[in-house]
Amino acid sequence: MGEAIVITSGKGGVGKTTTTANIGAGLAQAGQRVALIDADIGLRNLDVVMGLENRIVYDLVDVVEGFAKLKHALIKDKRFENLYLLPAAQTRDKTAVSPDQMRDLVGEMKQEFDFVLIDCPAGIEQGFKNAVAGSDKAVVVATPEVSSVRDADRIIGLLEAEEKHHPSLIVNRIRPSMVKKGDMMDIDDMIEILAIDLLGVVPDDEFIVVSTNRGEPAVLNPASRAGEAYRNITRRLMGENVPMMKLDDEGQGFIGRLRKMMGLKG
Amino acid sequence: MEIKGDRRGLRVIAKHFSSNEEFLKELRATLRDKEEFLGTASLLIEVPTDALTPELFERIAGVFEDFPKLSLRGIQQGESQGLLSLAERTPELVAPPKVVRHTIRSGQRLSHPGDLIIVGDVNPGATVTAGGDVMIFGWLRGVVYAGQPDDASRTIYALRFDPSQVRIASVLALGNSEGSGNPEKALIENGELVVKPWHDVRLPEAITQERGSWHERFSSATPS
Repeated sequence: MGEAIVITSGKGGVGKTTTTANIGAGLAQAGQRVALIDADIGLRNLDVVMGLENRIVYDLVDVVEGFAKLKHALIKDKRFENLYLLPAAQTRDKTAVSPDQMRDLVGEMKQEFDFVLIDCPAGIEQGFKNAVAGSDKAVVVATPEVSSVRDADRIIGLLEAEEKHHPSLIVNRIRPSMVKKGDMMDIDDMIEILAIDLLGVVPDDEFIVVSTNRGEPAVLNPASRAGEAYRNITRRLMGENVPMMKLDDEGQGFIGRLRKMMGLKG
Repeated sequence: MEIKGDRRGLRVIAKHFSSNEEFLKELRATLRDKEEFLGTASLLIEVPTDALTPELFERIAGVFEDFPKLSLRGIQQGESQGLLSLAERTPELVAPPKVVRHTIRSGQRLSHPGDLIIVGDVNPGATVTAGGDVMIFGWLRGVVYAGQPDDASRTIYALRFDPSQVRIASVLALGNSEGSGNPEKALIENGELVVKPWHDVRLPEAITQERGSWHERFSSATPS
């Protein structure tokens, strides 16, 4: 019996889909059997980030409505045998699925996979309720911005009300140089407000833009700082105790960049 | 008439009397009965909230003159915080104090007709409304309304006071982000809402009764 984890944030554009893709690919690389569910019905993205968009035949709504079998709708990843994606429907909206149907679907998938990762849509309405319904755990993604933290707080409040998701936090897109100058909220400030466990910190990394456009999760690139952070998060999700990455070596100059290119830790 | 002892000392609690005469008579009788037991105690008299007038105040003081060994420490109205000056009159709250032992997060709403004690933070985007006082043993960054709808004698307390908005009765003030980081309280003085240091931070009895669980929740709510 696997574990279902919803990746959520409240606010849009903070990196839920990127995080889902990277954790999924990271877990698959580590040998876990992983399924990703794109719960953002009507605005599907995860297939693009995974580079699988032209393989979609059936989608989540088809499965829920009994139009297709789960095994026919799941798309096998290009890189990993043990990584699958259940895409969202693009032509429907969030009301096409109910929380009960999602609970059944996720329950069925947990039988087959070690991890079921659910990419939650932005907002707190039906799409959120659907995405959360079948999950055992929640990962809340927030960027170091007041608006993002406010929304994350709202989401955590909603999750706590159900008392089952034990939310943990991923701080995304942190820029250590800006934090140092006091121009960006630091992680401690965020933890102080949100008061939940920190699962990981992902530095702002231009490579993410490239990897998203190419459909190649950054976690597979040994030179990417964000990729390294996602690898650490993956290991923590598998129960390993990995210390937080040091973030103060941004702008490390030529040598550092060379080491990074050679895949050595900075 | 009941005599109770706690950290604040001895309190004489008076309830349900039809006239001031009856109350004073009963107070005198109680003190006489318990004179030996009370010794040289200093007493706090607690009267029902609609009863305290300057006249009654003086007459209670007069009763004590007949008991030279006892002293009158103060007169308090009902369960409210601290001593009230004579001019202030507080209608009795309809509900007992409520203790909430978790952080109030963005989008969450909490309201209670009586005093409200929160052991945890009030985060930005959260709204807390009370008929009485609001005490926050944590970091206040949201919106707090005390003394709703029209009780201007109420106070808002917080260990860290950086509200986005506070309101007591109908007086409203917007927060600025320059909190001192020290315990502060907001109250109404001359029709204006003022913020002052909160020196005598004490945990209400409702909290200290379950100190173990309090400490755990509290330290996780504000890790600093």
